[in-house]
Amino acid sequence: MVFVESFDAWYLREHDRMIATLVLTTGELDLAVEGVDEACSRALERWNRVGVMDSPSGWVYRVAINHARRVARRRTMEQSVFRREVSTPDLPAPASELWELVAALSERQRQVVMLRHVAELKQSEIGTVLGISRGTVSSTLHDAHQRLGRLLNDDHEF
Amino acid sequence: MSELTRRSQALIDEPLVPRPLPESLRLRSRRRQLRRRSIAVGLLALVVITAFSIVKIGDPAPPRSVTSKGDNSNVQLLSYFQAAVNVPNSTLAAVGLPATVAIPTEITPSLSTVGTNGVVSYVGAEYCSYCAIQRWALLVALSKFGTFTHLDRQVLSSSSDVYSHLASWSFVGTKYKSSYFTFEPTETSSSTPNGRGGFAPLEKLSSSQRIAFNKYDPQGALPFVDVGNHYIALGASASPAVLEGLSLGTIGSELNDPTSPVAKAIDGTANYLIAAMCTMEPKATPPVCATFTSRAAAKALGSGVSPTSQISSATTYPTQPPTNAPKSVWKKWSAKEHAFWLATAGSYRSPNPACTVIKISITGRKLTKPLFGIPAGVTIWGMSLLGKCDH
Repeated sequence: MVFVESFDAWYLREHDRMIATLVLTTGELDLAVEGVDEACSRALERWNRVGVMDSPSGWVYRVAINHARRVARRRTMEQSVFRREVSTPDLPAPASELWELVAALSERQRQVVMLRHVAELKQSEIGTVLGISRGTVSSTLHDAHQRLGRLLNDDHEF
Repeated sequence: MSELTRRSQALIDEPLVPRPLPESLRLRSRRRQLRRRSIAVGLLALVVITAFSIVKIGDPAPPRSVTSKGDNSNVQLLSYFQAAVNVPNSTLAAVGLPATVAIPTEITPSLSTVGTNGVVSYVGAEYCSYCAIQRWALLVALSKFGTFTHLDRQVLSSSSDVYSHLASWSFVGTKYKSSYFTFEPTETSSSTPNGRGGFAPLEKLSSSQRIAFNKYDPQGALPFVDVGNHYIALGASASPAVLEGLSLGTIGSELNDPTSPVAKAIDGTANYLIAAMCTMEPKATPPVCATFTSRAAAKALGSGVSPTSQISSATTYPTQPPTNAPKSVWKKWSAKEHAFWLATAGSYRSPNPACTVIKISITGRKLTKPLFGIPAGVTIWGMSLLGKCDH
């Protein structure tokens, strides 16, 4: 017998974690909210299929990251076409402090680190979400840890 | 727990934004579906419009239907066309059978020409001014038995003919539908000079048409009209002079005025053609065949003599211009000569009551060299008679 968690229960448990992950991945609250809301509404639309996956959260993270990336790309294009500067509001504390810490990482390193330590996904799940191999996840994570360790002066924490 | 996990836990414990209710996610989902459908419908509409545009661009043919509203020429065509096909029977009756109109000749069908049985055949040319007036008469007559479409090729007769630049149209591309018979028109040449003194060829005669044309019109006079292998008309049945200087619109409107020379010539010719066409399907004919005019015309077809007692204004042979007169004067004289012979043929009665006329033909010959003081290039006319006498 397969136990399928209800969408509401999953949503209640995972939403805030997903927002935190996306905020620290993108550095923008609006982008994170947009990505998570879109991904969750799509998951709700097809929960019969998503709910029985090995990692429903992995699927939703993948959709959320892709959507946030699309929105960011569209916004950049609009800014260049209409020559309009859109100011991005600063993140509220304590998210802003954390962002200052991880902003120095590359985008890929940031995604891997956040999916591992905030979303608490396994390395294999991270590979599926980002469309990369587990080995790449591992090495990327290793590099990111070293860099963050230097920044925090606490290598062993990671 | 790593330092990062510990610090980020604060973001989870104290969320940065309130969690939307699942209902708002459902609403967002519905909006997305609606947006997808709108995009799909828009794309479909775009595909349909594009396909339609490609089809229209790929079909550069001009509008051909008489009902189409296009450029000015089509509008003008529409009005004259409508006027010609709608000449009322009362107007045809008022015009009657003028003596100036040549009567179609009854022929004895032979086995070789049975191919034109049940067919009204016309052989003409776009440059030919005599064909111009005969086309008008055919249009009026044939419209009583069926419907024309695709009559949209305006032509002017040749400028070098006796009657130059007569406004008419060509039967090229024309479609005619009738439940009584078929109409087979052939325009052998265009009105475009070919640079060798002639005109560019246009259409070829059908085999049955060629057999009848060679048999009944050995001199190749145009126009040639064969009504069901029973009656033929060689050359114009009335003088094309009435069309000189008139536009298509004026000709169309004058067709409905029985007192106008145009109506007398064209409607009068149409009356004879109608009577001839009525003989093709005697058991099933349209109402026009029952009119007094049609019956009188049928009687005239049988006798070859016009029943009218009208005296033509062209009963005297036109005086020849001086030898050194310009060619334009000679061409006018030629036109008067043609009118004279038409009038003479129309009112001809055999002086001997025991004799009946079988066939009267008016034939023209364009002189290639001067003859009796008449310069080259002028058409001279003559009348030939064929009759029989009971003894």
